Amino acid sequence: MSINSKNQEQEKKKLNKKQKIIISVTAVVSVIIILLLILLLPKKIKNPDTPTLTIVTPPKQSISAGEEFSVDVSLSALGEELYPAVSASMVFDSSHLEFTGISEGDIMILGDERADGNSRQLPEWSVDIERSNKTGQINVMYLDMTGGKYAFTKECMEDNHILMKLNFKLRGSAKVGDIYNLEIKDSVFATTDESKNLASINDTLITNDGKVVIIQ
Amino acid sequence: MKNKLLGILTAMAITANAIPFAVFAVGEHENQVHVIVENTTFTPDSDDWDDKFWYGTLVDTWVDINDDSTMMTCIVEAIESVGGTQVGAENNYISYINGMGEFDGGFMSGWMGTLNDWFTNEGFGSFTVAEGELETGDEIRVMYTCSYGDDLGGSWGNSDSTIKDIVFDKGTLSPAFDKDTHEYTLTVPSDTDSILVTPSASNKNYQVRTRIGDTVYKRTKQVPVSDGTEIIVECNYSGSLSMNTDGETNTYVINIQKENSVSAESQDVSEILDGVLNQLSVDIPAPVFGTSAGEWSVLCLARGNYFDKNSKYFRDYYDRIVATVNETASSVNMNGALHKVKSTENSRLIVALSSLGINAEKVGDWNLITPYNDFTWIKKQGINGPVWALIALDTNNYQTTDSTIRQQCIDYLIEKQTPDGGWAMSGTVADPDMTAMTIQALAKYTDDIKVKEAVDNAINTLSSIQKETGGYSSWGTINSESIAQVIVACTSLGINPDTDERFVKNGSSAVDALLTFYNSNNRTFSHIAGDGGNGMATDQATYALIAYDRFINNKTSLYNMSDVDFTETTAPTAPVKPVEHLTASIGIPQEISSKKGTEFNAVVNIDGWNNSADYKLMDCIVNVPDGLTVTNIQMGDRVSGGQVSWNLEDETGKLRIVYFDPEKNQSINISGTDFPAEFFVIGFKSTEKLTAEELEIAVTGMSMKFSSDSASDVAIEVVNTDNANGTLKIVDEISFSACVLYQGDGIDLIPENKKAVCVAVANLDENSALVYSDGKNTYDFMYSDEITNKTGIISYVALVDSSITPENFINADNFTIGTKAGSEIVFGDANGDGVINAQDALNSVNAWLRKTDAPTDTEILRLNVNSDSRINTFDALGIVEYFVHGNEYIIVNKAVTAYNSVR
Repeated sequence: MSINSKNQEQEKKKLNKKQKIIISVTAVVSVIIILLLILLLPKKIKNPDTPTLTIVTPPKQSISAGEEFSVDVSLSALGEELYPAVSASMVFDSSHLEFTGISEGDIMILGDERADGNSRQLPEWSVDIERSNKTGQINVMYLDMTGGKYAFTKECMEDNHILMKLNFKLRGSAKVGDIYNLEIKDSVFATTDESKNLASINDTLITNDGKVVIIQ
Repeated sequence: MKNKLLGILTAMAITANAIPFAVFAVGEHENQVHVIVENTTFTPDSDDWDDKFWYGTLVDTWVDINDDSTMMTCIVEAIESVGGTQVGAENNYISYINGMGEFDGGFMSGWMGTLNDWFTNEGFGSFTVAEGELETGDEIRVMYTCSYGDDLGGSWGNSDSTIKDIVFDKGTLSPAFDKDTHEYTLTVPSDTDSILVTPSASNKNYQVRTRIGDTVYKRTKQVPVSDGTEIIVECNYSGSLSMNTDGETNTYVINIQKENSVSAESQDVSEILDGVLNQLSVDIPAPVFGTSAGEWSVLCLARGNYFDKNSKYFRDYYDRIVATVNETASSVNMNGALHKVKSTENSRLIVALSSLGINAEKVGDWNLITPYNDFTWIKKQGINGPVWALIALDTNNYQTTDSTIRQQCIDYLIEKQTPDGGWAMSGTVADPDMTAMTIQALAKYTDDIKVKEAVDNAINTLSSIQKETGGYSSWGTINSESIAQVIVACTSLGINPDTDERFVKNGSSAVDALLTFYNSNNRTFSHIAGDGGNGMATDQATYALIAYDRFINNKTSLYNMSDVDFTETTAPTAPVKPVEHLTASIGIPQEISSKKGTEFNAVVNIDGWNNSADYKLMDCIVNVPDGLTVTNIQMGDRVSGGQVSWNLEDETGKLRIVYFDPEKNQSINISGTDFPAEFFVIGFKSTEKLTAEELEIAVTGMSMKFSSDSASDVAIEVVNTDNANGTLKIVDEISFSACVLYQGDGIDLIPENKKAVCVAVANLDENSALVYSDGKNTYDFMYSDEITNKTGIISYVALVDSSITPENFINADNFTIGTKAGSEIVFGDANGDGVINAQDALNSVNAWLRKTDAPTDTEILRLNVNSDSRINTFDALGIVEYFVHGNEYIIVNKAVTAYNSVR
């Protein structure tokens, strides 16, 4: 064996060692990435079966229109429980947006049977417009004092998805090009057996924020 | 002498002492009379005494009677029963008994006798069983006199027909008996069913009788009594017999009052009424046409004199009514009828308008009286229609073109009376509501004998169907509305529903029963006891209390509006202030640190508020003691409509505060329904080490202004600040102060033996674990950031055994302060997840519905946000109001103000 061939042999060995190190590091990194994905994916990737509350970003608002516009708050699904109480705390920029109130959505609740045989009805939300504009946070709640007779249910929801509509006006301080975030800070669809509720605090309810974009 | 000494007997002395009058149970002596023969006046030391005479009681026995018996035969039999003798009975005049005879004791001596403590006006033989003058249980007392009876209490020498004394075997008489006082109250034990009444005439020649109504009770017989029974005792009454010819009738009235029963005096409900009316004005800020939040509320506020009839509140209501009447009457198109079938729609509105002095013959474009000419329309609702037609028409003596309408209504109602004496919407059994309402309608017509008879029967029916609690049941439920209608009915007839025995059962009157439906937390009435406030129940209970209050204050009845001024008035140039006065109070810590730089807060609350008053400005002066400065003034979260400005004048220590809207001159409003409400908070800070032992802070000169016109007498309302002052104790070391926030009543989830205590720790800089231990009980107190921020003093709460006295919680020896932060409580955060939302409100509802396990001590503290004795839906509403409106929990404010109350 020549010296060169010896060197070549040594080079080959060195290369194999480098390759081994690279492969090992790559493997470790891959495992870490996989582990991270396993840990984080359930929270960050939206499971289509997990009920989701979304502030639907409305069409871009013209600053010149000056009219009231509404923002849908939609719900993707409900579980199998009775949900006699629902609340949501939503943050908005009260220095540029004026909250003017809530309009009905299309998701109904259980109700008393009427003459026409229908027993579904729309919920009556409690909200304080003045305080919402003062604090920049809309706190809205529905509470069925019977604990279930007038509850939200999957059956009542049917194919409807709009829980409520938030109505706003642009204030004079709003500017073209501004984007005002609408953020769900907390929301819960409460149940008698609290472990079965849908709540943003325990990730059984996913929330999606919206925004208002201002154009000319 | 013979005329007077009607029965003289001789006898021998058997006993040494006279036996006082004794009472025997008549039941044991059926067909017997009680005979006593005695000498108590002719004594052995008399100059005329001889050893053959006797002194004392010869006989005291019961003698059988039959149809042939007379007083005389009974006396003879009694004497003979002890081997005694007598002379003269056969001649109807006894001259000797056992050897002692007339004139032996002097020229005015001899034998006399009483029948039931009355010296009979004829011989003993004249009083017979056959004629009914002698009866079972009667008492015959034969006595020796030395002075024609004067020494025995009977005299021809005077015409004193008063009663000397009345003895009762039970109870306490008030005032003490005096023959010249003729009215008394006898308070007897609550379980007393009957009493023995023993009156004695000043002159026993006059007859005395005891009666209740027309029923006479002999002095030996039990008199049946109940609470409110009126016993009459009379002497020398009409038809009575006497040997004396002169003398007037003297009558004494004894009112029976049972212990622990209602007072014979009418109870005062004005305080409750003030609160309810104030709350009603807040809860119903803009009444409209309708049964709910409408005419009945207006009636309450008008007849309760809460608002002046020309107030903005009523003027705005009338404006809304005019619009509604124009629209509705046009739509119905029946000559001013507001409903094709329900005449009560018109009647209800007419009643409310009359209470405001508004003529219902011209409301907008319509005359609301015209449709009453059609009786068919009136009776379409059954008896409800004629009942309310009469009430409405009579509020202002409205006349119908058909003058027979009223009589048709009356006849219809009389005809519809149920067999048991009441009225009902349907069926044949009296319903308390309909019976009471029909009485209200007919009360004005009781001059008609048929009406009077029907109404009298109905009152008896209402009395008979009253429950043991004093309440009434309608449709199977004991409810407040039925009681309310009965109270209105009673007062319309001049019957006191609080003291008249017909409406008091087991010591509980109809008024007592109604008040059991009152919820002091929110100043409303419930339909069923224990339930939450109910609009209809509150309306009816309120006007019932008004009817009662008017009755006891001698005002016209609820629907008799002859006291209302119907003359048309023009709108006043300035708003009229409400009758209710505003009251301010202050909450400050009990103790603060003496250290320089110590900060704390004073919370000023206001009560009696009404947004309808249109207040434009508040100003006040606060006396700030030396050593303190003001860091901030923060208006309460519920207060709106102005901007606050303030200045502390260092030289005088006067803090001047003004709150108003300088730009738009808006009205000042306070949202929500719970009062007192936080008006503003004053932040204080010590500018030096405080050396005084105590400092006093006082709010003075607070007023609400309606306008800037200082000359107008309606431009200002002064706020009562009598309780808006407090004293701070200055302490150098760690020191504890405590107050009780609430105690459970065992009804809704909070045990009776538990109470919530708040402890504030002066000279403690931050939350440190606080443990209470008195050797018997140990509690971990929880830090409350909300109370701490409110008072400025580190504060804790715990649910403790209610037997532990407050003194234990200010004793530093009972506390251990840790080095690490202690656990924290957030009121309203029922599940302790750090967020207050719908889940917490629902948890409160479910706890009350008992859908979930009984709450732990910590959960009780979290849930009972309104700081009363129960966890119920009010707490759920409290959480909703906190979440949505930002309303502070009552418990936080209470933690501040409660210190003042336990100083």
